Amino acid sequence: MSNIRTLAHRLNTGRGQIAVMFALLLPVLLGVVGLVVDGGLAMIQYRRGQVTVDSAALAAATQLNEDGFIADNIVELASSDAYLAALRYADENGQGHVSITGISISGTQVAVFGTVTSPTIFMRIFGIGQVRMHLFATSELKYGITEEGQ
Amino acid sequence: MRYPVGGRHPSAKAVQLRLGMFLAVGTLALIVWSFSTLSVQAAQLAPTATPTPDCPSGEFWDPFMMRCVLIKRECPAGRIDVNGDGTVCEAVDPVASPSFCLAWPAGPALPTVGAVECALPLQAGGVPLRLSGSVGCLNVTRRPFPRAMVNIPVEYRVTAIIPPALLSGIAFGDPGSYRLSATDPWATEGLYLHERYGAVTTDSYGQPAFDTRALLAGDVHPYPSVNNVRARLEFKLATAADELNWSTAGFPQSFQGGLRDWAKTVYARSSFPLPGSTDYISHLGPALNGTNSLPAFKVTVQSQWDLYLYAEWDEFAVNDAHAYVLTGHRQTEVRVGHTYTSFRTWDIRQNLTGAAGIYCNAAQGYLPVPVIEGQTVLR
Repeated sequence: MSNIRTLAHRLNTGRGQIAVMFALLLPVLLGVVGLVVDGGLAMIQYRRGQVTVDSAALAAATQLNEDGFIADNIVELASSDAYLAALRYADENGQGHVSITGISISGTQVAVFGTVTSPTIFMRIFGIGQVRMHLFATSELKYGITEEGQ
Repeated sequence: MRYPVGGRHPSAKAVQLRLGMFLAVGTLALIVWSFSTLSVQAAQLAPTATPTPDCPSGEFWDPFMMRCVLIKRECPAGRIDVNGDGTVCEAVDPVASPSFCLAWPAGPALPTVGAVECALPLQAGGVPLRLSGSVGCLNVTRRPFPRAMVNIPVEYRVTAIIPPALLSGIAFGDPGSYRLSATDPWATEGLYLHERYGAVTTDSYGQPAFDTRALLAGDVHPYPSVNNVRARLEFKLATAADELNWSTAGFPQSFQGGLRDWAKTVYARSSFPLPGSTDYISHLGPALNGTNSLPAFKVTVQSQWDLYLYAEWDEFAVNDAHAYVLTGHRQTEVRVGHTYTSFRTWDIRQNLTGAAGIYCNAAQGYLPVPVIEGQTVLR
């Protein structure tokens, strides 16, 4: 009887509402914190992944086909060398979080596709254990003496 | 004297008288006979005698042959009997043998066209006859071509002496022109003496040669001691492994090789004309599209050449029968001047009108080598 009386009293007086609201908003707060923390972590992973694919693309674009250049003076990339260079740089810079899903090499241009996975901390509460992000980078070997392409 | 006994014997005086009379009569008879004989002969010759005919100069009347006969004459020893009758005797005209020549420039530097003149002992009107020769323009191939790239080794090699037909702008016979040697792929020949001065004849081997009688103008009976001269200059490229010296203007290091192997170098920067580098940057570098529009490093190739005089001639003299006869065929190979240095080079793959005047320059020739630089960028 006393408990009911106490609750009625608190309702009548407004006391304890904060606790109720806190209890009600706690999931929302957890979600926001989760977004901030896990989003931040995801952003870090994304940046790391983007740097990884960028470096992979740049590394691939340095693989000039020297034999071809010597033979016919055409500036183009050695496809196999560029492919291997991209994979090697992605592997060394990705720290296990970045996977290369595709490499496209054409002439002097390189496109690297990849994904990075960021595990979540708070978002697990909502059943989101990790965030997977797609990465994309393109690079080009430019050349010349006084202007591009000479 | 004793006489037979018992006969009549004349006295000694009578005998002497008779003997004296006999001698007197005999002598008288002899005298008479002699005069009579002379008078008869004189009487007989007088009506039939004819005068000796006048013979041309150098002939005499032969009464037995009844005609004029040449007076046999003999030329002095060592003289040529021009007409075969001893009337005109000529000495052999001394002509110096072309066994050497004086070259200028003496080396090692060469003029722009790479030509050398060489004065022979043979003279026409007091002026020595000259031969000329020119170093060849070396065809330098390189890889890659036409453009090189930073950090990719550039390899150079001399493949041949450029055939004269490809040297546009230099007519055959003009200074700087040459002919490839028939026997040595690394040698060039100049004009033969008879090609330069004419007066073509044939030597004792049946080859075209220079007639030195052309040098004896005014001599009615030219009999040169040396004739049928075949002479030319020949430049030979030194082909030892380290005889070619490669360098790039603006770069401190040079490199060698390039005849039997590839001479290699690497450029650490592009041929972009940086401020202060305009002196050693050419703006006629070949581009991939066939134009000569790229800034390029000036790569020089210094080659070494030796100059030789090749000459052969016939020698003549007078024999015992006063005839002008061939006595022998002589030939010589003499090195003249010092070793010459040449920068005459070109890559015949580069399409450039007048390239011979720009790059086939013995004093300042070079190869324009554009070097591009690559850089990777994110897009």
